[in-house]
Amino acid sequence: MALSRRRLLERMVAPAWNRRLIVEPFFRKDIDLDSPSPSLDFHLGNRFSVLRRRRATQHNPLPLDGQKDVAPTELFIPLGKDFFLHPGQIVLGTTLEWFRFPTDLMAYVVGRSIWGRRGLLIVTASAVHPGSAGTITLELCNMGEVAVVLRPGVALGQLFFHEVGVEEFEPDDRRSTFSGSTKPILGEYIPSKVEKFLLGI
Amino acid sequence: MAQIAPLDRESRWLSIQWQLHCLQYRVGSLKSEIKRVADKDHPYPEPSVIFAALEAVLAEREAFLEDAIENYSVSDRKVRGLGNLEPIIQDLNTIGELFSLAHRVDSARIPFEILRSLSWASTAVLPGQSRAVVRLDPTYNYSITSFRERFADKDWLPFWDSAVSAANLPSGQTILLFGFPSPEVGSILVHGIAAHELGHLVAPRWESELEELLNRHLSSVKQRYRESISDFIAEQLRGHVQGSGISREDAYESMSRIVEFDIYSVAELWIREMFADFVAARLVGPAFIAAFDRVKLGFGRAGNTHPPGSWRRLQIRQFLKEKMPHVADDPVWRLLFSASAEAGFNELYHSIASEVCALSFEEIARLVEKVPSPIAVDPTQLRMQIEAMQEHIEHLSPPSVPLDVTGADEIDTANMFWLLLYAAWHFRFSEDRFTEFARRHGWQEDLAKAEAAIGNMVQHALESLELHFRWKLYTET
Repeated sequence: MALSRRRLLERMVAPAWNRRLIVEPFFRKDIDLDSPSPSLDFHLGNRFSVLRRRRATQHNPLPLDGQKDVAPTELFIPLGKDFFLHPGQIVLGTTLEWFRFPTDLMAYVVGRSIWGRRGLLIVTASAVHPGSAGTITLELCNMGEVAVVLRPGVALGQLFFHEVGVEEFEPDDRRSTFSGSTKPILGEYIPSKVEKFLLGI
Repeated sequence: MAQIAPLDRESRWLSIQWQLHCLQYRVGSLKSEIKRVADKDHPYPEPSVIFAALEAVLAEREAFLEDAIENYSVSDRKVRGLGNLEPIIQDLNTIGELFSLAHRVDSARIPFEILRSLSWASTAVLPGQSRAVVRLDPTYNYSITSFRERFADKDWLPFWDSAVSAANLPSGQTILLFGFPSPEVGSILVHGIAAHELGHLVAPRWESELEELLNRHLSSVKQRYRESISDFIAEQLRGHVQGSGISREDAYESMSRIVEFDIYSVAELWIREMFADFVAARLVGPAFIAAFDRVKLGFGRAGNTHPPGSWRRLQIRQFLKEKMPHVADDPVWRLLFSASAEAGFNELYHSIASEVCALSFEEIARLVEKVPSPIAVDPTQLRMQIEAMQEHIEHLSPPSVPLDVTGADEIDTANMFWLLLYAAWHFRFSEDRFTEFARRHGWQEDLAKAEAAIGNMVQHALESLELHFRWKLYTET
């Protein structure tokens, strides 16, 4: 069951850290508590990683053969300036907000239809796990035929929060490669034991 | 553009003509390079002001050169009105130097998110409005350059003011260029050093007071050192007089002047360092020492420009003990003050300078009390604020969350910049807490990652503070 806005605001001031949700910056005055929508909007941040074709000819995140992955180029677009996402292009972006999830809360990232109908996909791995902290990396892809103009600060999507039955976990006991990060990064591929077995055959 | 006169048989003219050609060539090269960089899409407008001002100076110099060449062409082999070429060479060198400082301010690696906070922090302590620009320095050096000051030094203020006015910025605006080590680009905590460097820029506000106290104390210290100074001069003279054709009296007088000048210079530079240290201590407490240690490894030996690091730490600790005992006595900072002072100074200049500093201590401490300080407050209030911020850091949350941004005062918001840096370094030095933080989040094997995460949270907090401030203004007007 998705949490209502009132429940989310209660979570933001929860005295116990194992229940407290942090969203920063959070513009409290802009929140309509009477809205039936069980979600919080998030906004586009300033940092982008553009995946350009240079010397590397393929994506190869698997660490097994040591081949180089595509190296991203970092960009900073200030508030008030535009970023153009061209057809077929994929870039990594971030949320303007920093989210800190308690261990009993997770969320799904969902794009706004106003963008989706114009061909913009904003995320592929849409689940944000309990205990995560940092800005959320967005995989922005233009599936349309003309460029999409993006401006940092724009509301790109929303988060739908769900409670998870893990309250017995120690607070902050979950770790993620991306914890504490503010930049959109490709990330390191860490294979599980099963993957290591399967990929090694 | 005027044509350069054809080569002449007269060698003097050939030389001048070639020099003029080289100068004109240099103007052309600088002009096209500045234009190339100025035409880039900079995230913020400040670099454009710098480039526009430099282009205006160049245009004026170019016209001057063209005029000189034109004058020659119509005259009888004389370059009328040109005079010495040295000033124009120096001008072009300065333009080149200022351009080289400003031309790498658009790297995406720069933490642009903190520019507004740096601007506010600077405006809070300096006269007039300041805007911050950051450049990456390939060397391990942290510096702040005020472009308005640099233009004023060269009598180019009209060019600067026109560029500022054309950019619709407030008159008197300066642009401060923060240069910090490129390898530390991800380390927001290193910006604690800004407190000390801003201290140097604050000093001109009390120029006459500093000069007066320096002269007064220096003259009394010199009285006590009269014999040592005479011996020192005699020592310096040994071997210089014989065979030089200069009388012993003349040589002594000449050497005395040099030694007097050096004594004054060293004492003045040490006083200025102490002043900047005290300003920094008021702004961000011992946190700036921690940031310094990251950039300048080791405690630093005594030099003619800087007192030794260990001695400085003792002065800072003493200053904090007297003015902010709640900060000085906080056990968290003990690591930073554990260095013992050198037993004494081997060099005469350093001994004199250290005594002048000791005599000036109280007066300088009183002067810097006029600098706003976010930590010279009620100890309980400070402790609660720091605790709230650190609790957030501990739980991977930006420490700006518990801060209350009123939206009324930029100075308050500037103070929060220092408070955040203070809290972050305080957390870093709270050994048990920091170790537990690193362990809990899986960074116990790589504490640099834990520190980077703290830096990320501070960076995000600074950008959030700016947005909160603007939001307050937006919703209240």
